[in-house]
Amino acid sequence: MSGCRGEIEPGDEVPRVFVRCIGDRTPSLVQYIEHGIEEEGVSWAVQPGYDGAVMEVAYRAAMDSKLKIGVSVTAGGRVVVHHKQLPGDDPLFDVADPTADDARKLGSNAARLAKRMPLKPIGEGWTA
Amino acid sequence: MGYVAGVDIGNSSTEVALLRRPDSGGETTFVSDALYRTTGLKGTKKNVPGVIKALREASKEAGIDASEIDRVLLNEAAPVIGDVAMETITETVITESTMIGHDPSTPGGVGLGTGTTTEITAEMEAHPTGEPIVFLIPETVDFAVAAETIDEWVAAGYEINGAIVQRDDAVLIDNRIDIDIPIVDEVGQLGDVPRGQRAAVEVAPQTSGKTIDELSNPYGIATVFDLSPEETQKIIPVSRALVGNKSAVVIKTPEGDVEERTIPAGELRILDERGVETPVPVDEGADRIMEAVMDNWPVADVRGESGSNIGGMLNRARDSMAEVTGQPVDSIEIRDIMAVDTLVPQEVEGSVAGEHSMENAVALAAMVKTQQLPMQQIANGIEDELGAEVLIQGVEAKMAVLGSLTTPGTDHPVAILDMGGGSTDAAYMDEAKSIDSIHLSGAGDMVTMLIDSELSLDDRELAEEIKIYPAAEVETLFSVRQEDGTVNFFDDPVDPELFGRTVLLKDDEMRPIPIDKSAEEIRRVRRRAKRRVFVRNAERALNIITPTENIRHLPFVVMTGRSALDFEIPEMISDALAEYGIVCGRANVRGETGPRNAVATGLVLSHIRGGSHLEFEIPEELTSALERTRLQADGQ
Repeated sequence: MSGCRGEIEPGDEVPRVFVRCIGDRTPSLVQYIEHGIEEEGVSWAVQPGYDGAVMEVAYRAAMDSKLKIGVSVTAGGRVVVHHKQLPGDDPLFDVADPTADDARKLGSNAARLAKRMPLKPIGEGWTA
Repeated sequence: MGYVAGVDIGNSSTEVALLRRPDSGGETTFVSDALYRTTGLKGTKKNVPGVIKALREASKEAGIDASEIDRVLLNEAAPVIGDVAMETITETVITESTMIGHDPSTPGGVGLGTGTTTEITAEMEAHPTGEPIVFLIPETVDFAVAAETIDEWVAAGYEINGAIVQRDDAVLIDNRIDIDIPIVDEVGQLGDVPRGQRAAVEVAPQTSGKTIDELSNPYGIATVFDLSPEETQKIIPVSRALVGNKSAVVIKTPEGDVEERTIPAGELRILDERGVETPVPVDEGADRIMEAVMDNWPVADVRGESGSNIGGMLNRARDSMAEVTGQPVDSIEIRDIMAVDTLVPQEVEGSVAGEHSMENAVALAAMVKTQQLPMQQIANGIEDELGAEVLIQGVEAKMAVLGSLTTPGTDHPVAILDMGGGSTDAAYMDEAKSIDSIHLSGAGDMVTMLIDSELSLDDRELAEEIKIYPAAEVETLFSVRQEDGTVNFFDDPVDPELFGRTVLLKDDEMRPIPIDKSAEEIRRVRRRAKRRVFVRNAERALNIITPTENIRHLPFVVMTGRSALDFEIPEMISDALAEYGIVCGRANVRGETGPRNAVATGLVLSHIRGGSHLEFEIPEELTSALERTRLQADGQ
């Protein structure tokens, strides 16, 4: 259940959920996503400095992740949770400006996807 | 050209078999069949619209107009209805909150720790360092702050042995503290946890796959709290409720008391045909009740104690039968009951996090019987609508035997088992082709009730679906694993709502089951309920109906009715009967309709004296329409 920010060390073999931030700064929302992943006991890495479309960044992260799960966060606070096996333009969750609680649930769900556990509803219901 | 329609009005569906009869008297042919939902209670005038619908459907399928049907044959439905009820006979009451036995998905840390329950916001100075502490962490305290506070107290020389957390924060706290202690989280009613009391917190080692082993053991709790033998006896319900958990908390309060009470469930009084009454206390369980029923067979009536659930159910069944038939309530008799012992999860009174304990209960199904249903009203109603001549051709059970004998490979003597929703009926045709029949309580509805209560669903409709559809687990976004372990893949991803859940495979869709149970557990509960109702009743019915009262002497058993369509009930019964060396299988009426349409087909066969559809001659008494009806019909 280790997390890390920035570059992961070369040779790191730990299966992680990749949380990629678009822009150079790490939005404050990211910490709540991290808490969600951590409480579920899954490893992750936060990586800032990406640019491009939020959907593509999340999909790319899922492709790179050994857990097949990627998350992208924009500076404006949009969060996308993606899975490698899903079509690139059809992520699991795409939520604009979630509350701290929902951001944590998005983190939980990213981790629960890896654990094969039922997901938590986000906001008013299911946002896919 | 003439058309004859046999109509079987059942509890839930109305079935039609349509036969073409050439005027020249040549070969008759079954041209179509139909099935429609029964409208209204079986045996009442409200059935007429359903019958008309079913007749129209069958006509349409045969390419004729309903007005071309010149004769409609009704069965005299067995004047019985079944009802079910459940009586809980034990109850666990915790007079002071003493345990937290819920199972959060992610507790933190590991091991067993004891200490005094203390608010994490408490002043350090107010507590002596010598006293071990279990912290209570409310949702208003952030996990990072809580972790810091725990480390501060430890640094100041306090012994912190565990924590109880309101939010889902256990792992986050565990990852941020320097000590290794058990942490239980997601305790919603943290405010109800008594302060300043001795508490024990246990979390099972997470990677070991084990469950807690101290607090689920009465002597483990006795060791932790230094209990006397008398006190140890009292905490047995607590330890029992915690078995199988990954984490638990037990708090000892001075006034704390847990008791397991036996609720007086009243008694049943079983009357045999000589009027001798046998009282049976319901709380002695199903075996005693069933023994008393079979000892007093044939049962003339059963009475329950008023005020109990079972007494209420028996009265309700009597009342609805009285209403249908317009006969006085006291002329209505309960001719059979079936009892099954069951365990029902019930919320423990005085629990803090919605804990459940398994309570003993008895499930009961009753069979209510009256003289006769008002079939003539229905016959008149159909006549008015269609203008065809309507006859009440025969008695349900006998017609079912005739229809079932069109199943390829059958011969008489034969026994049929008609397994419906409300009752399990059996009929036997001997070598001389005379037919005997019985109606037993306990069928599909009882299975549904057992599933509903044992899985604590409180949703009959969902329980019904769990009964008829197999379960599966959604393992990935693109695959499910079925009960038998096979995996199926999809082209499109499942809804995120379904991911990781147990679902029912309902035709082409998947319905999530909103409870935290694996497909394996659901399968176990479902099959046990079916076995205890249907296999038990099949053996009971066949033993009673066989002239020698010995199942082994039956050569053929044919299963019909709604529950014979179930995906596993026929196999379970065939399996159970295989050891007696009987050929037992699901009917295939006319070689094409499966276990459906037996009565409707039987009615038509009775009317045309078998034609070329049966291998043998139908005896006179089975071919004539019922006397009272014919008089009426002729008079018009």
